[in-house]
Amino acid sequence: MRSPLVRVSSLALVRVSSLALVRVSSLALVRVSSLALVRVSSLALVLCLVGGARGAAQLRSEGASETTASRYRDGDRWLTVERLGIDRYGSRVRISLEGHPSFEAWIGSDALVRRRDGGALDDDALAARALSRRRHLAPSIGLSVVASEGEDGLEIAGRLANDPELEVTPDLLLRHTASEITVPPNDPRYSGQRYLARIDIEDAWAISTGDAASTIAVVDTGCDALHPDLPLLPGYDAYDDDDDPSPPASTEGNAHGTECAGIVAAIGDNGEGIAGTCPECTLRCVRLLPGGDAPIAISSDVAAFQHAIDWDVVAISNSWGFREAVAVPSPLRAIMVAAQTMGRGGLGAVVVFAAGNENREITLGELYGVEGVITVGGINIFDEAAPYSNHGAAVDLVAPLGALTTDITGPDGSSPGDYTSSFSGTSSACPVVSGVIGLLASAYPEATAAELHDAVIATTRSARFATPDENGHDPLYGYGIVDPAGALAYLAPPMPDAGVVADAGAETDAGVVVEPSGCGCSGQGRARSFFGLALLLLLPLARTRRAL
Amino acid sequence: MSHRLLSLLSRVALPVTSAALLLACDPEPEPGTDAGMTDDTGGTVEDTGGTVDDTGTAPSCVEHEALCQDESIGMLMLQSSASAGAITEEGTAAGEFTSHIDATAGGFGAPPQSFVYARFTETGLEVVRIDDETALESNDWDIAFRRFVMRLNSGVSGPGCVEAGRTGPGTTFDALTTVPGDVAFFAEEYFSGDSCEFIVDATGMGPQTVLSSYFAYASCLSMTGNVYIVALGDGRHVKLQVLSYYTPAAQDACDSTGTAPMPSGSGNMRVRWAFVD
Repeated sequence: MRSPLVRVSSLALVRVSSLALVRVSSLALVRVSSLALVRVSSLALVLCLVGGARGAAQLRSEGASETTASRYRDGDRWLTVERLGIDRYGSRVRISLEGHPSFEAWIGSDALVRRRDGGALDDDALAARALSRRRHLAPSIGLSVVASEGEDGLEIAGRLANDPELEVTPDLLLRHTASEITVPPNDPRYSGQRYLARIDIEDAWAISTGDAASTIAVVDTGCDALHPDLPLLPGYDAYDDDDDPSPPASTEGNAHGTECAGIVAAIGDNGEGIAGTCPECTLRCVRLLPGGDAPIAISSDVAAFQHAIDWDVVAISNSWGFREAVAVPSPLRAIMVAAQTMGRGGLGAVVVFAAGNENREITLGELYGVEGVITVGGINIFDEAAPYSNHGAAVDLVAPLGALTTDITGPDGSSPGDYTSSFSGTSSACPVVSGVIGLLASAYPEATAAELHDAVIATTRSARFATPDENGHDPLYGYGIVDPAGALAYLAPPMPDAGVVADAGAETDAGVVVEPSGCGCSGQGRARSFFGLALLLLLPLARTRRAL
Repeated sequence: MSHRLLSLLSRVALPVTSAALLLACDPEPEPGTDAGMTDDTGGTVEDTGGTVDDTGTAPSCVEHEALCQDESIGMLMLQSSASAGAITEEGTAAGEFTSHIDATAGGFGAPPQSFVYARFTETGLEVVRIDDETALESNDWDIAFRRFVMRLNSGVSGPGCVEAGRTGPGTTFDALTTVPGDVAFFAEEYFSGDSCEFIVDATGMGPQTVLSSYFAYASCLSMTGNVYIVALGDGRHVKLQVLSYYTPAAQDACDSTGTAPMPSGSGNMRVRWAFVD
């Protein structure tokens, strides 16, 4: 019954044509030996056990038609299983349970076994049932992974369904979803956030919707601490040097920080208002700008960044600038650079700035040119650059202008009510990118600020009205339009070659051949090596000139 | 250091409060107030219904109900009596037209008037004398003008299928003889989503219409020179470029100096267009 076509190691992480990652509901990144990682074109994530490739697929040929039904016990419940055939993931089945909707799964070669009395499961007991232990899976509950020559997991579970001593269930392969929140979220005004649709945010959210541990600092006019849609952690008033970042009431422009914050990370799927770009991230607001024309000390700027560093934020969102083309004072430059390598245990924070709205050329000597800073221009919903968006070599990329966002609650702020649709300017584009950084850092919490920075810029999609130079850069559009899903894919770790992983030996036939269609994967070493080489060749063209 | 916010606070037409700022700061502050914007209503409506076809292919569309009509009437200050604005052809050469549209709507600060509605014909841009509210349910018109706002009959703007897309960089009106394959066509979607969220244009002065990138705004409306392809409901295509919003002389001054002399003749749109198939 063994297929001559398919064998992979028990540790192979099988990879499809596009990079993939795996997350489980706990939001922890998972790379488990028995898991193969699969990403389908819809960006839905699928976890499939390598046992599936090694098991069902090796036992049955892909494309085979099976419609046989069988049963197994799962605790006190009897489940009916209808085999639907073999596909790329293995033996596809539909499982029915009285009083519960049926669901789809795949069967691998393995089964999960434990003693009914919770006692230790010895090898003799397994051998007596023609089972071999693959590993002790969860000693705390006496659970082991077992296999049996010539049987898949369902057949094992069916054969031993009435065993008085053992509980045996197939090691089902089930689709998992990465998102903690429902996508699309139920926020009533989310459908009006066209700016998120223009960057295919739901493709990104299929991979990551953020993590409360990923905090973005919004340095601006402060935020309305009472807003029900903002996940605010304690902030800081850099202007007054106190811990209250609330904006003053009834002053022009006082809603600016609250508006930026909503675009970054308004709480998603809470039945309230809108969803931020990173709808499960958290925010810390810094009040730096008090309103009006009064000059602000550089020490306040520095203090804002220092607090962001101390908070271990993943990004520092800055929708502000100087009124004139100021050469960045060295203390400010130093703290901006330090922010990218300090905090988060040395992983650093990405510093994001709005390009500004004066329709002028910005220079590398300004804030926007500080090493590692991402400078964001604005585009409308038709991908056209805002006519006022500043331009020049310092512009890294563009993002849609986020018009609809949170506002100061009540009658104060830009509009009556708690939200406004009149936000505009590159101020409203910058937070989109900051939110994207939040998504990336949530999915890849070990990524450095430099890696996050590079991922965002290297994966921009082309701007149709740009005229890029030989390096792919356009003064107005930078390297293109931010692509959250692309950036997430960019950071997905390269998968080890199937069959050449560390513990491939004992349980794996020598000379294993990767199943080319299993999980839709393309994990063959040569192909991946070529991919890696191609990526390396392309990156110098696409990456910013200011990579850290 | 003098810091600043980057959200166009001084220019965004936050409809009520900023109107006064515009009046105070701008000698010709017609955008913002007479664009018909009021405030964020946050209304609840079903769906915007419009189609956005950015695939580069010809748009596919069926006549539909324009959604968010209440919001349109409110935010755009749509009227129930037709505008008297005239359309005059100022020169025809080899099937090419330069149409002058009196989109002054009574001038800046005057009580709101309806848009001037028109359709593209072989003999020129023909006025369709209907009022705003009727136009929301009429397929008789292709394009509408009022002050600096140009709307197409599609999406939330009307029941029709008139979509448009901007041509690529460097494309000139004269060189355009066919429909480029990479043009992305869009229907009007200046209201979005179930709650009909208003989408303001990049300058914050009016609705984000498909053609609103014909101008940039600092202290006057300067022409960007963008060339658009307009896909009509009958499958034909028009190439279109807005030449001026002010009198030609005032427009030249605005484009070259950043200031439009007064009186500027604002709202006198001149549009160059021609069928390309």
